Amino acid sequence: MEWLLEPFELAFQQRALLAGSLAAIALAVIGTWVIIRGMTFLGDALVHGVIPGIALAVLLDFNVLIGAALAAVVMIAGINLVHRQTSFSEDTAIGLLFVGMLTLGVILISRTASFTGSLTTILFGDALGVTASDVATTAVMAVVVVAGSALLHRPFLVLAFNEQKASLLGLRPGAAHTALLVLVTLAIVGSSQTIGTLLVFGLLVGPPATAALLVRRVPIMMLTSAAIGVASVIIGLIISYHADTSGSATMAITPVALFFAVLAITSIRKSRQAAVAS
Amino acid sequence: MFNRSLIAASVAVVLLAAACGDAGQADDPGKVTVVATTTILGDLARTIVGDDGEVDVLVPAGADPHDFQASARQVAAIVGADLVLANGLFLEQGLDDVLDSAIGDGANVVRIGEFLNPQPFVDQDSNSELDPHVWLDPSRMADAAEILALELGAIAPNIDWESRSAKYATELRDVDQEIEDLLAAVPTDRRVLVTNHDSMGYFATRYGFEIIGVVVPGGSTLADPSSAQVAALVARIADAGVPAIFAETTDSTTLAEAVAAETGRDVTVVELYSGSLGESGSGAETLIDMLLTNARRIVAALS
Repeated sequence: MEWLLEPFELAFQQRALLAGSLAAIALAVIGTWVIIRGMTFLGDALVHGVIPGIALAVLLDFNVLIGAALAAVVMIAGINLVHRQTSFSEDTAIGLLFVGMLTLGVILISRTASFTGSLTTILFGDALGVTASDVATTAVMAVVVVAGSALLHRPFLVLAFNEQKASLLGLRPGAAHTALLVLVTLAIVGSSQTIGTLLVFGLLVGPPATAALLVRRVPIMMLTSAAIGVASVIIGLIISYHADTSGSATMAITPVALFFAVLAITSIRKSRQAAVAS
Repeated sequence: MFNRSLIAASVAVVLLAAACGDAGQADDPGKVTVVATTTILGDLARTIVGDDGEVDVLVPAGADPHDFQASARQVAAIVGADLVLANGLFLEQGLDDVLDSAIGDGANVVRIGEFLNPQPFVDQDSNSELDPHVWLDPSRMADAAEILALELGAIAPNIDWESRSAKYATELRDVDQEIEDLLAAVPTDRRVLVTNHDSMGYFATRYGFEIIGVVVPGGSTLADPSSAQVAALVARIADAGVPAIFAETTDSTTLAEAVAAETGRDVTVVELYSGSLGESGSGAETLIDMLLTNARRIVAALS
């Protein structure tokens, strides 16, 4: 017991736990939709696609979240344009905008002398370095994302399972899709700034995918996924403390490891059931 | 790898200090705990601290300090140490968030580069940032030793840190002279450097060299040169008849090799120790050995 509690006697670990858990809850809720709708690649692309906006914000000295939001708008508009005007599948559009925005970021950064060191460490945070105001920012983001997802639950649900029916019901699938993208961007960008990109990804994809192996109904999936996300943050912080491994990376790899553990258990159980049935 | 018993000892001190509600002071006045970010600062701290304390180093030998990410255990050591010796000037980018939040928790962090009269990067516009590679100038590191002694004196005033730092500072100033004597073998018209990253500014200023080109612009590891920049650099190397490009042991030399090949002349890529001390047996295990090894390699390449 002492072994489990000892890491959390330190103030920075408590802040990492708090910010990490808040982000884990928001990312679990929005990540459930991302998994159901098959938007994982878009999530990955968004994190890197906002880099030119953040770089511009740092260069011209305005709020980085505004810079990131501007870049996200450009990126999503670009993806929609390619998607509507061509017969390519959406991943081609995402891929084009992903590489286009990321390279624009590299060009901006290479033109200026004021960036030294690694790009991601300048532009994104580290869970072990969060301040009290970072925790507050993450809390605001989490409240907006969870409330937004709750308010729009019905349109998102219909959108996820039957897009045609959505328009018949007057639920405007286009508007619902845009609202979902806004919430995904907010969750990803808002938490990358405080806890870092790797951890955001681990928490966006890992817990919802694991929950989807275990339960079927969307609200239960979100709850399970939030519990797995928070557990991953706690387990990651304990391992990082005792095994002396990089903090954010350890928290990020935990949900992925949990996914494969759950997958192994469920497939063994399935093959046993199949054996019993035959 | 880190010495486990050192870490265990420093964590024990951290917990003890936290239990007493006084994280700033060691309970045993004879033992100070110092956490240094780089191997170079670790060497400086070990030399001054000697047997009167424990020194932990965060970024391992051979690793690039820009990309380092700390573990929770290491952050605990940072918060609990009597003194955290960092370079500052954005060298430890991956740690800056952690160091700042640790300062908020009462950690005693000294970013020593900021006190060593830092100069801007050489190869860039006048408005550019300050160059963090202060340790490549032994006279600046002699000042750093004296500043460290003052900091340690504030923690444990009963120990005579100043005579140790004075001794080490004298050694460093002798090394400074020795390097100058070694470099005398390089004639004035050959005192030009082309480097992989812009890391040799302090060396160039101190010993009268001119940096005529840098392969990777800016300080960012993700920055890429334009083809116009590479072409201009190749032309400059050919014009000046530079026989070598100096790269870093911690970073890839691919682009430097390509530039060297592109000149069509006999240009070698020589690795220098810049961001980290060498592994044991490399001839660059301490700050002094590293500076002398670098100087000898530069002399061999240019004369």
